Amino acid sequence: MNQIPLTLLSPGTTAKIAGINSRQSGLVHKLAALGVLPGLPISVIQTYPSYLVQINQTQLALDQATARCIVVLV
Amino acid sequence: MNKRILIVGNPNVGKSVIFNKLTGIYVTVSNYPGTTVEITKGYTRLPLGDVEVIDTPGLYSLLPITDEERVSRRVLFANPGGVALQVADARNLARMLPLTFQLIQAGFQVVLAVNMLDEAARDGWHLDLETLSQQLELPVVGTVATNGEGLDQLKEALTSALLERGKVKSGFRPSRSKELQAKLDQVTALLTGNYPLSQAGIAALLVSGDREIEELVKKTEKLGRWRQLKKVLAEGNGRYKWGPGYQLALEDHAQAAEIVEKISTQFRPRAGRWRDWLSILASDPVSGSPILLAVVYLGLYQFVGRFGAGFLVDFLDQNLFRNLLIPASRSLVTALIPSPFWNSLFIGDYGILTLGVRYAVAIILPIVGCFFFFFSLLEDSGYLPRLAMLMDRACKRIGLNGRAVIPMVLGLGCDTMATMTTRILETKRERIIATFLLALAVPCSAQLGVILALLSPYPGAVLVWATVVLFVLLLTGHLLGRFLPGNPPLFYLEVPPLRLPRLSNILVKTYSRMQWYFLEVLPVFIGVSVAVWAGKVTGVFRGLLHLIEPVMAALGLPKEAAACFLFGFFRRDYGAAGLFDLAHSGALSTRNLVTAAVTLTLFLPCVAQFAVMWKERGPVVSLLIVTAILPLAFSAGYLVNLLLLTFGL
Repeated sequence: MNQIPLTLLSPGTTAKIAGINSRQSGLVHKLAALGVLPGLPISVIQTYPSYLVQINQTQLALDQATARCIVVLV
Repeated sequence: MNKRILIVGNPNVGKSVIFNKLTGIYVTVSNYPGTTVEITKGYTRLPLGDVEVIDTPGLYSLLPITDEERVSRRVLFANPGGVALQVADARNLARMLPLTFQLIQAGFQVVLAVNMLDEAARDGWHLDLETLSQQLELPVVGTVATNGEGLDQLKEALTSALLERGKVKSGFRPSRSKELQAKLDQVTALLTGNYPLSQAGIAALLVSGDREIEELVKKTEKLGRWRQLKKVLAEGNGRYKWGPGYQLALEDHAQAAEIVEKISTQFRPRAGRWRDWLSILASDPVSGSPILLAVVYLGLYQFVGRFGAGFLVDFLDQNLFRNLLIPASRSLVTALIPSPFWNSLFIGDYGILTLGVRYAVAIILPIVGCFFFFFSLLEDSGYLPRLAMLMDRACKRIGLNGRAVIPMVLGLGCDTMATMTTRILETKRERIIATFLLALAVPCSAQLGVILALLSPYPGAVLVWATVVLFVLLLTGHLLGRFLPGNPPLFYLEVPPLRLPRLSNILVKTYSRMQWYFLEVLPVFIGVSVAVWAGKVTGVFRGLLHLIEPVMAALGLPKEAAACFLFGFFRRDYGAAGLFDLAHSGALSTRNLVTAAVTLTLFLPCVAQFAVMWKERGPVVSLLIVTAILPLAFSAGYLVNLLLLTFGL
């Protein structure tokens, strides 16, 4: 299993969330509150102009910089 | 004992709908995270009497990140141990329960409303709320707020909660890993002061690294105690890869997920696939851009511009006012007040009836009403978050992020309301940029409607006007983003499902916004009429006009246009509406029209917007913005006139 940033996934793929890699504790908590939690499957629906991902019942729009902070297992 | 219910919960879960159903008062509710920017209060009738209900902005957790969340937390802190009605989205219950845990732990008397059960059912899920209630040891009520389902049970649960307040509390405690619990216990035991939350609640926030709470504890506890606390807080964090705060969130979420898993059964596969298709179509840039253009063309140009500003305004202004009300009131007022000096206050060129009421009712109201209808439709359908993600990259170029689409689009309706909504932006830097751009280059619907009506006979003029205004917007935004200190804003936003808007909801919402607008506008219009009349009578007005006339000359405009700019200072749309009159009398060439339209669009914000700017951004920023706008607007107008003259257009 490798840990890679979410931005390396292509649309239509699903991976498991490993964690959030950011120095900003605000961002980490916000993403956690939005459901970005280790172990959950995350699907990439779209990557341009913004990332659109699905985690359980929640869809999130993220910009590239935020998406890069999300580490996934592949 | 004060009887009060606080409505809390994540953004976009239906708090405001529940508030409306409980209190019968209408707050604007929409399918966009972050509509309640102000706290709304109302009263609900329960068997034990009238009880105050407070609606708060969306809150993801007790650890606030945005200003809105800070507002909500402050409300909670002001009511320690009070009754908190948490509204949760049934489809995303696992994500909502950690807040429930926090509220219980912080010592609130929690009632949980699991809302939007219909959407969960559409996805094929059944939730066993009775078991949930037993697990959490608190009342849980299932609701479909939009059609009133479960509201009676909710009122019953709230009544018992109010009666039991302080006597019966949920004994539920989320179970945590041994090390983390030990740390929390140690911190809790060290706290001695009196806090707005239970000490366990304070401890959890301290462990999560909450700065505001740190300050509070530092102030409350003795210095030695604070040092001890700091030491305990810093100990053993090496074992948590992402920090103890994230670990805490993880464990809470894991337990929430476990509970939800236990109580939910899928009875059939998910239905409503057309929504998924539509959602993808709206958010994909290839199909989304034409959809966006179609929405702008149909909604703004055809509906607000042609129908509202064209047809409705013509109808009301010509048929109702010019042909009927004005002549009738002229003879009536002349009969009542024979003195021309006094009756000109009501029916003179700038009279209260001829100018104030007519502008407000016949010209501005239909345009703004159409816009609010259109905007409510966009909000309730869930299109706005998709628009935000489509526009994020473009917004980044002007120092903002996709989130700013909401205040910007709302600004096309009413810049005053939009300036209030800039609170949903996360950093001060973004809020200043958005406020500046709204004041400078985003025309409100009234102004937009009048300008489009003026320029629409000449498509080239519309093009020049739009290009110049957009250019100024982009250039100013770019420069602000470049030179204001701070980090580029990150963008992340929850995208709610697309929903078929309910006409009744749209109409009520449009009505309440129009009412807000009208109550705000009519006094200003009447006030301006009186001020203009008094200025005319005393000669002050003429003096001011003389001051502006050279500027008009520099812009190549007739000196009568000076009055529009003077009005524009009171309300942007007021100025534009004056221009409308001037153009109808044939005093303006096409070049004049374009120059005047550009300058007026960029010109000062209206009095109401300025007041809101002052309140939200403070005097220094507001005055700086205004000082920057004046030369910007006039030099843009000057250049446009010069260019049009040079190229002989």
